[in-house]
Amino acid sequence: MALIDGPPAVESLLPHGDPMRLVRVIVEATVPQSLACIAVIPPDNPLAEGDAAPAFVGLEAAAQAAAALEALSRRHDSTAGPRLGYLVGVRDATFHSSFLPVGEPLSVRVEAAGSAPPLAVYEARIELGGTLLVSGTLSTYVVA
Amino acid sequence: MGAYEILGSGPEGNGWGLAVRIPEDSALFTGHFPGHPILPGIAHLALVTRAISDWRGRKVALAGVRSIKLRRPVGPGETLLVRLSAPAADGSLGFVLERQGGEIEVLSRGTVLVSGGAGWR
Repeated sequence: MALIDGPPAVESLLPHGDPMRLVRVIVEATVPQSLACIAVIPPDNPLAEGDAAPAFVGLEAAAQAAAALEALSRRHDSTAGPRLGYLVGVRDATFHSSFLPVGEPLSVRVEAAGSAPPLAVYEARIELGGTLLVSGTLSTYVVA
Repeated sequence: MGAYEILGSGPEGNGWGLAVRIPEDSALFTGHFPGHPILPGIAHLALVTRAISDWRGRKVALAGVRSIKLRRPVGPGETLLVRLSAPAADGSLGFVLERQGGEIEVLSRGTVLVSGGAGWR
């Protein structure tokens, strides 16, 4: 399913609130395979340190992107909407930069790599201006 | 409103231990999730990074996460203990995060890579 009606509001897909909601705009989604979005680390995020945040904060952005993709895949369901979900695992995450900039638009892309509901696995990449900053494999658990 | 309170940090066997309490009003719960506060999974990595920094005696950054398995959610007011293993030759370092108070329970475990690689201490 492509986003022929335009990108949905992030608030309708994620249960997160500020300052932990990092995903700001859905750019593209091919449901249920992949999703690209823009994430921003706000200055008042509790893990931000001045104008930067540890690279592992990018894993939260990727987990939120995965949650948005999961929510989009349930849009045919009349009860669809944000569901609580947890990051339950990370494998082979590489931080090409130790820190991520605060307030900058990070390009986040997740691709589904396997699923056994309520568990799902995603490959994730985070870039800034075409430069790869974080990559890795995430596992998520969505609460029914 | 701080993110967490340090209760103790020091050597533990061949490794290091960091005990913290996550206050009910910790900033880490703000927005995660409204009305249903759960410690973000990445906060486990923040605690591991703090423990490594204490051990090394200066602020360190992670270069990667080889693996982490998050087994149980953490809520407000919990007391936690990060246990670090001695670093491996390749600079990787194992950890376990436990819930303290009452029955001890493993909340997460994994292996991280520290910037600077092998020989960081």
